[in-house]
Amino acid sequence: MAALTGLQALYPPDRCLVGAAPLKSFESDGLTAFKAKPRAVVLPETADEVIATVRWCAEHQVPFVARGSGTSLSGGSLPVADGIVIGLNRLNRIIEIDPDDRIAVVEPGVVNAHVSAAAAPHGLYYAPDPSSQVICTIGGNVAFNSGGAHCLKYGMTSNHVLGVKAVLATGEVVTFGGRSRDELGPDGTGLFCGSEGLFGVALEITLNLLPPPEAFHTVLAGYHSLEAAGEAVAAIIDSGLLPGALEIMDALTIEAAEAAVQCNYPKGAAAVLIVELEGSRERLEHERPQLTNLLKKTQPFETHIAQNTAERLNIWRGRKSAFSAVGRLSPDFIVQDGVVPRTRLGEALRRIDEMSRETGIRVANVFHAGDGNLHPLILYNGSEPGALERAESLAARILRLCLELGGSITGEHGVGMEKREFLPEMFDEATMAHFQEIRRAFDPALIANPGKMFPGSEAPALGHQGVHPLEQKGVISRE
Amino acid sequence: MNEPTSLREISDCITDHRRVAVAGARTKPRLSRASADATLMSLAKYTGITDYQASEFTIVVRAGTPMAEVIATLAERGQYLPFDPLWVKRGATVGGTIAANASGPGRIRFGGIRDFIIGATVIDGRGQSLRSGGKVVKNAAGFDTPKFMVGTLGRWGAIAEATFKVFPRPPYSASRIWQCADHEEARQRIAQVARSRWEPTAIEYLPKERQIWVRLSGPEKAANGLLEDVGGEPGPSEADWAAYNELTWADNPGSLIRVPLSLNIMPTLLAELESPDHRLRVGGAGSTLWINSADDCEIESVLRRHHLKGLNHRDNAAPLRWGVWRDQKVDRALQAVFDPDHRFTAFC
Repeated sequence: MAALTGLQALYPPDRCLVGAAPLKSFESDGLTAFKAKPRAVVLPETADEVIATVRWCAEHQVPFVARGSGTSLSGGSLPVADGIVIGLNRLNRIIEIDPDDRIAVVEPGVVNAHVSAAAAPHGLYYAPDPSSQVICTIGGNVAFNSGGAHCLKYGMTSNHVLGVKAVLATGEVVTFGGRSRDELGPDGTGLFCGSEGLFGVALEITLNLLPPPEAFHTVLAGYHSLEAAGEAVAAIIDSGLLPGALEIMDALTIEAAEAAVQCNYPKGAAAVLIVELEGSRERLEHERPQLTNLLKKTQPFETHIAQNTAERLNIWRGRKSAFSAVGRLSPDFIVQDGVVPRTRLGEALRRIDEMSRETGIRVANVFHAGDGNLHPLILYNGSEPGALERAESLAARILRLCLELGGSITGEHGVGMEKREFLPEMFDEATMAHFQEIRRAFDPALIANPGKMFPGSEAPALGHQGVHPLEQKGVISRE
Repeated sequence: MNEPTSLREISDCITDHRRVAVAGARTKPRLSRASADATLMSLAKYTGITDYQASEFTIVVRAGTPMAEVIATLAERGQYLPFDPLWVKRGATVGGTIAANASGPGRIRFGGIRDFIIGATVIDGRGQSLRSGGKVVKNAAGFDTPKFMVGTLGRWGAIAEATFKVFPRPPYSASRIWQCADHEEARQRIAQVARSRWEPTAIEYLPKERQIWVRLSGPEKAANGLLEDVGGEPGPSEADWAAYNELTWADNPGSLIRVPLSLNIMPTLLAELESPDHRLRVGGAGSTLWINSADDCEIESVLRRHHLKGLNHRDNAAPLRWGVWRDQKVDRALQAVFDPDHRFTAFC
């Protein structure tokens, strides 16, 4: 391994961290079960510093990991042992908002929610809203193609990225896409999104902005069974309505949310369904009665329609608190992120329930029902010997179930460290080899975030670390 | 001409020939002009909707399937592809539409073809069948090569099958025409409507006529209510839009060049290109400039001046690429991954 001298020459000492103590907080990310010690952490303030750092890494064949706020739930920003961490939080300038072109050009360290805040005075917003949007950064969102609660209607991060300027692992600075919503030639922007940091580091990202929906119609319905809630989703989808969000929580999650934020969900519900329609006032006037009639037929035992913004936010408060709330039920939990075809949600949940009974491990279920994205929360106590391993093994069975039903191992968290052993179960040998070749076209020396997405590399130690401190405070959540 | 009817035959056709030009119905002839020593491989006989799950909002289709068939099948279940694929009546296929990234006016609402392709089977230059993406509407596993294939023009691999996300089709659409004094006023009004609460499903500009066409879609009562707000004159009919999506306005001799654009430079560019010889359209709320012209001598210099690139879809006598195209090392490295033996260089 090359001496750090050349790298240290690029930064003042307070922005090139070495030694055990300052590096401690970079050893892990949102997937707290893993940790690894980097050799140094650099905190660039300009794109040129990022480029110089990557070129130094390329020249000396030193692995690096780009990191934003470190909220990855798949261990995507976990350091490579003895590699360099490039902390991008100081590249947090919103370079430009153009209200007529309806774009924002941002640096990778800009926090997701700050984009919408900056666009709001122009009557625009940035649609992708992963749950940690108050802290997670656009660079990380692009790398992992983050989702959120609105993906059925609006798509994922990649559907809102028009262009990326990046420094690749070779040191080459490239541009994909740009300001136009049209493009000629291969969609390099689309390929870069979701590449999990394996290609290089984004320096400038051009985002598509949208006018926010004029009005919302938010309904909370309580059901006596999960199955009934699932059937309600099917009825809504088949009716031709296109809700902005369709979310389901099960009894265990409701209990936790109730204890945490007193959201006043229907008492005794085995499941609650949140449906949110959105659009112009004229559209909602038409769709509101349509939804009411539909829901009536699905026989919820209690229905609550938000009459104003405060009531709407209260409904969402229960949902958004769910993950940190479940943390109160158990010292630790693993969140899964599998996807099943929406029509097989019922079957998936039934089988997860069977696995839970069989293993004696509690599983709470929260999911984006509209797009079949499950988030089973597998509860365990990390201080019990073998508990983490047992929870991991149940998580693995759930992922395989998703594949068996024709779905995916990840809807929005990415493969990262966590699910890399499962990627070859989703794609055949030729396609896996092709992915590796694509990666090598960007990074022939395999120094950009190695050990993620692809199986077989040396794994850092799996250990019990407890819940992420920010999660305990309810700032971030694992969905 | 080779017309394979299975994945195996597509693969064999690629590996059996030194240079292969992949084509569909050739509705954009300039995009598939092949050199004399090339083998033409048409996927027009590799057809069929292999899986349609209306309740999942997904459809899986083979490349040679006419888009018209896909649209008709979706319509039976009240669904559609919201991006208005182009040249559908002229026979455009699924594969050709993806390869040419041929999205029409509707893309302004929920995105273009790149935003609706969620999975693909691609046969690469070694004849390997590669399946990526998935059959569910939300998926973050593996590299997004289905999206990458959008716009590859057959130069990176043969798109054999694709999975699309589909949406419920709005029951009703109606349009208005706004007459503008000049291109700058048009720019401002396009920006205004694109930021409006109306959720427009088309914003197209006809520079010569100084007209903006605005389309709203949704429940009939709601759309009509909003149209009162939109103002303007009663606009193009469904038939007008259908003709527009065939680009019938450009049925004249000469090139048909498509230029990715952003709204703010539209007025300047239009002023520089305005001439009785050029027929122009600006699509997707200022996203695409189409130029149809038989006298294209100054187009190249205008595009270069603004660092824009253009692609000629028609007129085999004129160049394919116009303006300024990026040349990045990584693009060449990627091309070598998809086509190491340069089989897909058959186009000229």
